[in-house]
Amino acid sequence: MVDQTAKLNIDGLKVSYGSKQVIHGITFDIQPNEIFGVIGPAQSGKTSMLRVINRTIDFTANAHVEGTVKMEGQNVFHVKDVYEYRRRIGMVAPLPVGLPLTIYDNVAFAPRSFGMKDKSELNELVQRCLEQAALWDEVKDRLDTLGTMLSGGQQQRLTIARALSHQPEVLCLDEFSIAIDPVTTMKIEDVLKELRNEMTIILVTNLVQQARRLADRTMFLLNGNLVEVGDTEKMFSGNAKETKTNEFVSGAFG
Amino acid sequence: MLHRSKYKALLEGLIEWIIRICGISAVVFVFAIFLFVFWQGKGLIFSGEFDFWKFLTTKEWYPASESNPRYGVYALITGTISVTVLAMVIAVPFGLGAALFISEFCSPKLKETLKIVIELLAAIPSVVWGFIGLTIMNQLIMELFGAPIGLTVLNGAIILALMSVPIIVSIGEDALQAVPDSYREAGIGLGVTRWQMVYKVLLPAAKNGLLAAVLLGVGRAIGETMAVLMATGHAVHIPFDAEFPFLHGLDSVRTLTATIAAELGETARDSSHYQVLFIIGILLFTITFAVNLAADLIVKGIKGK
Amino acid sequence: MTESVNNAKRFTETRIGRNCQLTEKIAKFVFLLMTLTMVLPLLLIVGFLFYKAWPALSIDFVLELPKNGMRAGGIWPAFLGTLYLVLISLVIAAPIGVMAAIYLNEYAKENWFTRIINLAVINLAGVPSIVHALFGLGAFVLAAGLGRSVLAASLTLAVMTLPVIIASTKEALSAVPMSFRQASWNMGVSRWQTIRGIVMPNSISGILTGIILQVSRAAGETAPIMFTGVVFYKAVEKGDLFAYGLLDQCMALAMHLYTISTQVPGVPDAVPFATAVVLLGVVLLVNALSIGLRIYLRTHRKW
Repeated sequence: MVDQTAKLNIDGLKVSYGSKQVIHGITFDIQPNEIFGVIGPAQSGKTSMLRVINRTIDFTANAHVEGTVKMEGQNVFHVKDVYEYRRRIGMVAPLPVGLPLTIYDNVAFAPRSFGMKDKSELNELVQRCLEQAALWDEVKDRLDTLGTMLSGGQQQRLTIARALSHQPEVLCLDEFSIAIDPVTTMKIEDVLKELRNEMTIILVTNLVQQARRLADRTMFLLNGNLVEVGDTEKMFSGNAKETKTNEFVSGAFG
Repeated sequence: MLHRSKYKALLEGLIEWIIRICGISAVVFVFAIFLFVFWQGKGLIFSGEFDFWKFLTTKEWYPASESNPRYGVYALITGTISVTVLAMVIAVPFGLGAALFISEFCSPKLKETLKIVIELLAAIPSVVWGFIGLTIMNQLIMELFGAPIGLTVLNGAIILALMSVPIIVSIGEDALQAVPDSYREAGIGLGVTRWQMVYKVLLPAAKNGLLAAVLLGVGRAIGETMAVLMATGHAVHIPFDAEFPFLHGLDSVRTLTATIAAELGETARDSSHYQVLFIIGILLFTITFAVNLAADLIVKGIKGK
Repeated sequence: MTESVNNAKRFTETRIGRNCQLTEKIAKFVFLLMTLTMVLPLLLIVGFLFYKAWPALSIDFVLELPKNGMRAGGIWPAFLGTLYLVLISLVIAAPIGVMAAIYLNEYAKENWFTRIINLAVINLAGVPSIVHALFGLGAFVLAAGLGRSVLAASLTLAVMTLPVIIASTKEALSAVPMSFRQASWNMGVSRWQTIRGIVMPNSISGILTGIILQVSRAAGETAPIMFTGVVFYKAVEKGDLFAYGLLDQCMALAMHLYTISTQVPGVPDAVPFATAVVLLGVVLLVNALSIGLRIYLRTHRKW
């Protein structure tokens, strides 16, 4: 029974790399304009799941994907233009990467590729994205510095700015705060709460408390299996349906 | 609202197709070379006058004779072999020695300089090498050995050695660098000297890559044209015989490559002489193809790629 | 690496230890000698070439026309011809070579077909130069109907030097970290746009190195041009930059050196030596440029 109003439907998703299976058939929905948290210990398939959603799994030669993934009812593996599809998904990877372009060009790169030429439009977009990534104040006077010359934390925020630059409908964040200090993390978390009005957000995180702060609903993945998905408050208050969830949330393992 | 323009997407698809076509261009050209060379020589092959076995094993090379044309390239093959073998006898020890020195025994600064020198050595055009053989080496050999002419196997071999050494050094050095540092550290950990480590650990580990380096040097030597054309003289002659030293380095010879270069200009198009030169071309193509294939298989064998 | 030597000193020196040290020193010395045996002759040879060429070397030598059956005068038509051949073969080989390398590094999957392509590139590089001449003769001069011409000779040179550009470009492309490409793909930027906007601008140094190497090879080759368009003698105007048409025949430096040192009797020594020096000078200069470019770019890394 497919939820027609959902932004994303994932049904029976299985992923394996060669002979090693990392996701063993998971089914869930993601609602529009919600922050959907994904928690679980390392090697649970969280990153692989994200790579299926934005179809960068295509670039892994020995990856095998089964099951269906639909965005607004349309199967994402059957889209006409995969690049246009990926534009609609913003991805923030855990490792900070500054492209070897100026900071300005880092953020303007994607919009330019999609045809935005007007200088004032670009200026406005670059500033807005850098502000949302809590990076604007630090770099506004040196937008022509090379992105690769920034510190790790700054590069991570640059990655966030880039992810926002192409006006995504779904924003995926994969452990975005590991390289960022707590104060800046808070700033970005506030921005995410506002961005929820404009887009759907998938937040993969190892920080259980972060999921508790931000996510409306949360999914617990353990070793490629979906243990539980539901309302965040319920799951984190010790009243989750599954005992494993309670154990993980209380720090018994992971 | 951002979106990908259909026009741009189409243009991109076109560009990517052009890229794919260029990607297979090397394969196309290798086939084309074989085909076109074969095409020009096929007349003689299928004419019934041509005996492939006799071609390879007789030494009478009189392709221009009106009454009794004979196409034996045996002497030319020995010419190629003699110069190549002698060149490798000189180039391999020196080349591998230099590769070892640069890779294991010298300081980083010296390494830079030496690598640059080797690169410049490799850049010298073959006609300049031939010129050097014709003038400098010629005089040297005549004076040192009292030989009547200096355009000999020895002359060609020295020049070829100097030409092949850069390949042996650079690929040999790559092969040595490819051996993981853990091997070196294991050796040092046992308290042996660097030389012992090289001899007992490194050389056995790198032997495939070093063999490939030598093979590629051989391929270079076999295929060289201008330098041997100018330095080995013009005698269709077998420099080997049963008496010591078995290879008479002071004889003049002619190689397969030089023969084509020297005689093609004088042939009439589509004459038998013209066609047999193309057949020699096919022979050369096959030999160097086999040598390069062998070298590649050896290298891939160790990398397991 | 000298730690083991220093550590050895903390223990009492044994005779075995001393012998080992001695073997080490001898080995190092022998290998150094071997290396020098290649380097020194080079320097001596180049020096001797200069010495014999000196009487004839001058700017005029390059600009003047050959006189007296090429026994005197200059080498202008040959110099110009080489320029034409190099430029035209570059214009043909560079786009094909760069795009082939882009295919190999950015698009090709790891399968047997790719392996065959890589093999073909190595083999193309190993084909003897005279066989390239035969190919050029059969394919461009005859089959394509171009006759012996600058164009046919340039095409032959282009095919011959293609592997040089492919190898250098591929190396430069693979030096760009994968993470840059992934960051770009994550934004929906297409593979080609990523190559054009990020990968290529950051491999331009390697591409240029390949191009420079191609120029040096094309300038120095003789056999491929001997039968496809370059001739013994062609009359041109002194200092005329546009003397050759695409379907004309031309002279070339490499061929000229061969001709005057083997086919023309009674040439005074200085002339062929000077020709050799000019050719060698051009080639070494071009290579020095590529080495300089590499060193410059290494100190201006962007990541």
